[in-house]
Amino acid sequence: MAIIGQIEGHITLPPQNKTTKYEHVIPQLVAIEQNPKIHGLIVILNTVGGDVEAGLAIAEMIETLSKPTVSLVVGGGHSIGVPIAVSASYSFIAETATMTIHPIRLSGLVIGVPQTYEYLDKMQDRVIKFVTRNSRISEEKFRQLMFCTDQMARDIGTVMVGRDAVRDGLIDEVGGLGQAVKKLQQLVDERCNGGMKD
Amino acid sequence: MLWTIMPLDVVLEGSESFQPSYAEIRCKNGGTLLVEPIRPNRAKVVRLISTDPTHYLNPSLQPGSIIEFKW
Repeated sequence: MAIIGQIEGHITLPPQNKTTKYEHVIPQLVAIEQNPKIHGLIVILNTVGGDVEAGLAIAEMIETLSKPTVSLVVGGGHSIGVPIAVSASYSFIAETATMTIHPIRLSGLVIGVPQTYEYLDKMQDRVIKFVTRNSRISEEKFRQLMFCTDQMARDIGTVMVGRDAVRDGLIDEVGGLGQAVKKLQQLVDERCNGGMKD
Repeated sequence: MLWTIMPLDVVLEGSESFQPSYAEIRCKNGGTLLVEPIRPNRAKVVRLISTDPTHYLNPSLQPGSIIEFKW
């Protein structure tokens, strides 16, 4: 399954955006779970981010899939692509792929009431909790990367290239398509053998 | 709420003038397709509406794919 471009949520985006539509992906994941002929799933990610709710929904579905899942980040897995990447049983990132971690905000809008800030903070906490639960990175480290001020020219946050993401425990291993397929095969084999013993 | 590295004005550019015309067609297998007609008897799939999850694994019904149909 390929997740590319913007993750499209409740708002239909104008046609110049390449989008991954959650209303199509979610039933696909249901079908993958139900189909006895499907033994595993490989998710290839090259996304610039998108809708928080839709992205988290996809990530939660992949996380709770009972079949082995492997994710591979190529090109970029930014913003809401991060929880999707870590949701798989095992995650890979290409050596030159990048992941941008930055705070959730309403760009160009002045936060007028404290409730707005609290709402954003809550959304952010959901993402952070999901990521720290599904990877080796600590909450402290993830927050530090998210609010880093000396990495990006016009923004706060961190751009992580392949190895950085593995070093900080966000992603399991640096690798490409070959390794990802091999790992999935290994996980599928382990699951089949385990099942026979029962 | 969008969380993306793309500037919001780039993402939302043209959203006001974006007025697509969609048509609904019934599939043989029972689902409904929301399509954007591009030529007579040809249309681009916008959305699949079905209660059977297996329909969503059919590559020819993926959003963005071009289908041929008869009215």
